[in-house]
Amino acid sequence: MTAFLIRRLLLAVVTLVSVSFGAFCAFGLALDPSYPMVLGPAKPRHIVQAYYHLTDPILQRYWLWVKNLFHHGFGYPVSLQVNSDDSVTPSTNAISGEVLHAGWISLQLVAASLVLVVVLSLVFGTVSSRWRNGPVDVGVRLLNYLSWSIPTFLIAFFFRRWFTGDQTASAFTYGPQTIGYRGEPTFVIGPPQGGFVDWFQHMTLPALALALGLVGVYSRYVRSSMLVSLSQPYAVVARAKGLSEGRVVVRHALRNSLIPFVSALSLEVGAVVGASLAADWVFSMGGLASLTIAALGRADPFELTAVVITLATVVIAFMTLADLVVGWLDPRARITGAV
Amino acid sequence: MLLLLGLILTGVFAKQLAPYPAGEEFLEFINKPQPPFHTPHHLLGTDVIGHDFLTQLLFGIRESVFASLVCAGGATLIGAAVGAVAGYYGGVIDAIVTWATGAVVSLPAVAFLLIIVIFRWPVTPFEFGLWLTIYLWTGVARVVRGSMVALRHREFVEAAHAAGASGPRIILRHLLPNASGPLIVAGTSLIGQSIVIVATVTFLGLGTVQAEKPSLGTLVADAARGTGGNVFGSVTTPWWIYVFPSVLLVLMLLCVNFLGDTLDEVLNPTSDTGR
Repeated sequence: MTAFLIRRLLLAVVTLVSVSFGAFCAFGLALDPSYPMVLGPAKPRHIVQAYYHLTDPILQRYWLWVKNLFHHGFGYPVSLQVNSDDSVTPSTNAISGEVLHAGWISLQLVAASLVLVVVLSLVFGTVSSRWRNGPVDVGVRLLNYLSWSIPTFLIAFFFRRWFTGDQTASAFTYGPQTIGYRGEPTFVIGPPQGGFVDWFQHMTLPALALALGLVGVYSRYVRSSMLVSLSQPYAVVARAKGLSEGRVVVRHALRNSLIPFVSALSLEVGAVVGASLAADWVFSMGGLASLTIAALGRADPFELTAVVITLATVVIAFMTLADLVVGWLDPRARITGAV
Repeated sequence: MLLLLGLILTGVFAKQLAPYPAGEEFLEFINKPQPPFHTPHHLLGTDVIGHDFLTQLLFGIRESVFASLVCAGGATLIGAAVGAVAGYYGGVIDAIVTWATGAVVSLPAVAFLLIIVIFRWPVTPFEFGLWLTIYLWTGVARVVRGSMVALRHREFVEAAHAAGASGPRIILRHLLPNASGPLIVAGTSLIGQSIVIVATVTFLGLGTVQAEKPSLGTLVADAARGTGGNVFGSVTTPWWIYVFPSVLLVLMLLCVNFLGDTLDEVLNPTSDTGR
């Protein structure tokens, strides 16, 4: 297991390094943060370009950036303020801080909704495979189709309209009224402020919106792999030993049908994080969605690189976690490294 | 199925079907959004800044249909080629492909497209499809590579090899036809995926909304802004602004997903999804 763990972590690091290289080169070549100074005199622009090494060869810049990463984190956004003594006044708020803050919120959102997805898909999938082709099964499968076909941003949009309507945290107004109790809103938009109850007030709706769009896909996986497991010889043996059907389902079939489910989930973490951006934005969570859009507006290559790396880190973290879970469930995966 | 065909045709011929050019404003209806089925010449009413809503909707469908079809075609081709080569030859090529797909997949498609959309606006539906292709070929490549690895050591491949067939010939004539089931299913699922991604990205790309380029996502985003794109902010969003695009989007995805599921059942009798 240790060797498997190390190999998996190493793979994650290699992927992150390639992502950082790609992002830095793409943004570094495509964006010139000194561009707003193009109309002014040439000298301050040259000073800014020299200060941030904007005209150096891109590989050299990447190497410099990597070296600085270990000393100062992601550094500061580009500042265009040139003083009279030809020095540049650096910006104040560090990129690392805002990236960590936003990344942590997104991480919580994705984790909360993945927990919901796993629990709900297991329940739905198990129930509909246990009573196969019964009315419950048909109902669940219809709901699955529906949930599969509604994009996350629509669910989030309608949740926002129905449950937290008249709260405004952004320029967008959504709907007529907020569901509340004695003048206090039950669900609140915006980032969590700390505290247990508060966390649920902020997190429930976005996490649920994100989860509902995914349950449809994954409970289908659970259902079909449960059907396979239930017809395997070991399930027949368990039944022959006189175990109740419920015990066969829960103790014998479930664990084995978890494997395809978790590996399917690990392949689509990217899509989940992408969908979380929509929920994040609609509920003004202040997570990576707001940061991505703000950074795109500022068009700062250093900040954008940091944002992309953070997004990739969130995705890779959950992928690695899912792979470790598969390795724990299925000892064969630890040896071959692939499922 | 017929519904899907209808939607695709609507998308392709949106330019001819639409009563007005996209983004044309009817000054008399500014700040006086007209409800659907009430106004002459505007079947689905108008939005707050006086666009004919049927026109906006038709162009929205056009964007989704074009982008998803281009993406499904392109990504299936690239994915099949790359996946087949990686799966058949293995070794270094396989390692490079696995590494590249890993790196691409670790950045969410929505974020990738958002960056593209904001820097390269305005994006035509065709371009949208091309950018999606660059991202989404990885899924197809993975599926094809998987079936290549499974098929590579079967007897008919050895027989072809012994008969003196070259590598590319074996891939094209013997391996790909046998892997066509999963390939078609993966390609179909790309249509649904790309519709969702395009809608999400245009929904998120609120800052760059332009009435000349309506899409299903921006129409909902207009409603989210509460004023249907109105700068004065005095009119609340009328219901038809978000209900029609949402219903259309869900219908489209239901059709595509149902098609994919049916194809999966027919083409992959042994697959364990969707039964």
